[in-house]
Amino acid sequence: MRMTKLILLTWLIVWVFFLVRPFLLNKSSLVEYVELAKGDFETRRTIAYGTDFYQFLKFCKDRLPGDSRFQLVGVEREAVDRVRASYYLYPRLHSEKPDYILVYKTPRFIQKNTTLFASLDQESFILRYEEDQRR
Amino acid sequence: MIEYAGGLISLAYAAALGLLVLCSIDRNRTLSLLEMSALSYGIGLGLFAWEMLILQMAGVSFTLPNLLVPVTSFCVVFYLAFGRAKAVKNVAMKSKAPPPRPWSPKSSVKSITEISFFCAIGLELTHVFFRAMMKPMEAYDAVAIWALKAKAIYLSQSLPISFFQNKDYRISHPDYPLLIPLVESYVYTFSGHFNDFVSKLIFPFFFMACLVVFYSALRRIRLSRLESLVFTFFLASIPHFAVHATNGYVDVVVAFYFSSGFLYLYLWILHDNFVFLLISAALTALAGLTKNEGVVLCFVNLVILGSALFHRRNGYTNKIAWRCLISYVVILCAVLIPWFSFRTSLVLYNDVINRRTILAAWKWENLKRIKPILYQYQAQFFGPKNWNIVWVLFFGTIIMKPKRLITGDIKYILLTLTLIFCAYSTVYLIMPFDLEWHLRTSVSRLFLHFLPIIVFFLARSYVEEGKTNSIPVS
Repeated sequence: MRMTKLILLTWLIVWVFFLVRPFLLNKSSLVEYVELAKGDFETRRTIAYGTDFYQFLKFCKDRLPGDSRFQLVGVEREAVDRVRASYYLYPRLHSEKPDYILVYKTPRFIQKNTTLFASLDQESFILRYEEDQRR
Repeated sequence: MIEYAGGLISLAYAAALGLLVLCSIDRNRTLSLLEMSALSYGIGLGLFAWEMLILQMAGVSFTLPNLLVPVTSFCVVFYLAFGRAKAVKNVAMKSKAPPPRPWSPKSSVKSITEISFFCAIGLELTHVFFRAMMKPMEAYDAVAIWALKAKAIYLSQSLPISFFQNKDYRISHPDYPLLIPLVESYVYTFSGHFNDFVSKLIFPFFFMACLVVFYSALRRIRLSRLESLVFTFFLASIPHFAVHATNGYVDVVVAFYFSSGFLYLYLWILHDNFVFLLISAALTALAGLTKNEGVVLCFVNLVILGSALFHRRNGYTNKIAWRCLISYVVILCAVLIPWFSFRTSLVLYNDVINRRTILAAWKWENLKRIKPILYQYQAQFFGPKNWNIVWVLFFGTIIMKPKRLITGDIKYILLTLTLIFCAYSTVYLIMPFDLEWHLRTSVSRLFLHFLPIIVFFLARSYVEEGKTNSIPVS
């Protein structure tokens, strides 16, 4: 019985410790929780994806045709942002033979046979392959 | 909140159909309403996923009427044919039951502790629901593998073959089973629009269902209400388990299907109730429809069933034993064949385990991998941040009571866990890719699949020998 109580007590201590610890280590996480609770779906997605990247994705979604194919530049190959972009922009397809290049925070990026299609700011923009160079 | 209402109704609708099926199977009302509601959630959603695979084979698109009419008709007819008459009789019998015992001070004192643990479980559940609802699909695999497919299925109102065969989308592993993408797309279709905040509700409900089934199983092995609540709290409060019910990964779903499938198989071993065996088969099969590892887990439960039948060969006639085994296999096949036939038609193969990797794997040098595998396992076992002290208790129990573990029914639990450890470790031994990376990213998630069984093992070890006679769930 004593052993059982000891186990239970240890479990409870470890549970409370790891439940409270994240908030003690990072007080901003509590603020984020409050913001998430207060916010609408847009605000929550902005917090989850990051303000700049989500703004860029929304910009791309507004500008790209629904059946287009794109390539993403400025996001690392294994980064979670890359799969979030593929997901958020679907049915626009990520492709090795794209119609558009989505450039994120890469101000001096240049690609042959492309023209500026739309730009969010100096660093993030969409390039379109010239008609005869597509796919 | 209105956005969530559509999602909640879609899940409730699926659960209602699952309930009809369960009522039809469980004609003697062996299952309590509590466990029936939890099971009906999993079975109802599984029914929809299975139906969508059948519709795909028939070339029918996934419009809302096409989704609702066939499965609803089937469940209602099934219920009218098998479930209703007996149910009415049971309700009549229950009304004659004696009134509940009067309140006593002793039980009230006890109930304060019970209420505390009930509240602690409630707190964990609230936290899980809150975290799931606050964020969209954003975690890597949740987005890349599951949610992306769900979106593609929803938009094309079918399984989009061109998407599954698109080489630029290899990252989404087109060969992975489709239960969760299909269920998510069902929620979108039912709600009438795409909203991944809403579809995320699926996961905390699976977490809740897992806790309810776990609690019910504990009550059935004669743990008191307080003891059952304590062990259920143990399960609910394991940080890694709770976190994975919020991020859109499917491992908690596999945990629900497989662990519940095993628990009902175990209850069948104890109580010999055929309903438990049927439920076990359906749940185990749905684990195979959720993730590739689920197919391995189907084999594990089959081996357990086989060994239970073998051990009890004197107690069964050949006819009964074959009936049990054949029923189990038939249910597994019926659930899994539509998925495997679709997968075969697309010539999809697993990038980790396939004929080529298996043939190439039989090298002595692969045994060197045992060291990093064991290292990663021990890193998990002694990681209270993810697991609290569950692994310490598990190994402590094994070390302290080794003899008791190979006698009686508890050996089936230990055999299951041993088989899973061996199967998962074998995969790590033969996989062709970067082992360290795979171990780092997947071991902890694979452990989730059988975590409820680990906690159940602790609870079962805690129960005194001989206490495991048949008792009803209260």
